[in-house]
Amino acid sequence: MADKVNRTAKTLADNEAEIVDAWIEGQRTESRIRGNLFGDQKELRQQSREFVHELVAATQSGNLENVNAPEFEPVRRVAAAIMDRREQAGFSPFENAVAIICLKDFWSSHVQTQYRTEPELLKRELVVVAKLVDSSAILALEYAVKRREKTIAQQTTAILEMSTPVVQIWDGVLVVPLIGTLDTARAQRLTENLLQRIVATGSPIALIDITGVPAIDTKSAQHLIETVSAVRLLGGTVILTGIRPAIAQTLVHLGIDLKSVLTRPSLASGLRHAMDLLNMAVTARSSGS
Amino acid sequence: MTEDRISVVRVRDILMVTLPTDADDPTITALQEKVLRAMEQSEAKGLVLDISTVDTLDSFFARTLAETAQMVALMGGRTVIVGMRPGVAMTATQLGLSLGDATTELTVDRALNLLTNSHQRGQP
Repeated sequence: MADKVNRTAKTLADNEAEIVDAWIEGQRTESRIRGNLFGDQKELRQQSREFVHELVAATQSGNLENVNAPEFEPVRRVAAAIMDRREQAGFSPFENAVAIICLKDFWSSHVQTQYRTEPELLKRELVVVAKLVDSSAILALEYAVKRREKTIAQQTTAILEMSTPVVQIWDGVLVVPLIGTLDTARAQRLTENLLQRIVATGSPIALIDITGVPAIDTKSAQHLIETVSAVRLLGGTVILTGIRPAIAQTLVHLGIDLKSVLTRPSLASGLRHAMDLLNMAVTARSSGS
Repeated sequence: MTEDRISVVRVRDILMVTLPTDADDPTITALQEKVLRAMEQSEAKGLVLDISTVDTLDSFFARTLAETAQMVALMGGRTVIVGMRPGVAMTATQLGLSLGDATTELTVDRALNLLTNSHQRGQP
């Protein structure tokens, strides 16, 4: 068995230069790939050469089945690099997969010559080649999908961070302007950020402004109450500001008890109250001095 | 032996206690004993409990703190708990733990201000 496998791998190794050249030409002329995107083709040549070279090295191990094995690590790395570069050039994942699958035709033709006199073996070995090349293409696709998933996850975190800024507006006074709906993940992050900033800045008062919150329900109110009690455990005070008439009505109709929370209609009145609590006052300068 | 790990410092008429790191249940119970005895001897008006070394707050701990505050109140003192870590506060609210009526403050400085001011105003 090892011998047969080696013969198939050997056809690739022995005819490496020829297969690479045929493959490059194949990728360029393949109707399902926009050949004009290859530009000066220097990169196409280099990528193809590198990929086949690593594939030769990997198949020398006798493994022509499991592309997830450690000996295929260089192949995976080169495939990933090709995916990255070609995606930048504007190729779709489909075109990239087709480009790799193309390789099968040129390897197969050499395998056919090799097993000319053994039709049974030939049939089996062609399947082996097809499976290996297809797996490599799928591997490359999988890499592209994973990379996109990673990007999406990063963006989600970025959005979450952007959506809960904590700003210090006065000595000892922080403001959290909430915009949009308050779901569990956001509330959690908000509480975390707020508590950390309270300790870092030594601010005893935090204003949570809900002017930008379109509607409040039992769940988001519950989140707010939890945030308030967490701040209280730390020794801080939360003033909930921006309670518009509509919000006040909803809160009462839903029977949400915010008695334990200091509330103010506007951010300005909240800040005034915060200064009161801190024994500070802002006075107008008399015009004479 | 656990009591040795806890020091109760008296500043004017306020008692100051910093919790030892990795305080276990016996330590917390011992803390309550020691604080109450100190209250009896000193007739302090206030107690500042610094929990900034605590990185996990369980229900027993929270309850003991709340109860200690109640007991101290019965003996004429006001308890202020100081320095809870953000992470501890997060878990405490998620678990629904509460410190009862105990007052909390951000810093020891603010706690001392609170206690001396309320004392001057003649409030308990």
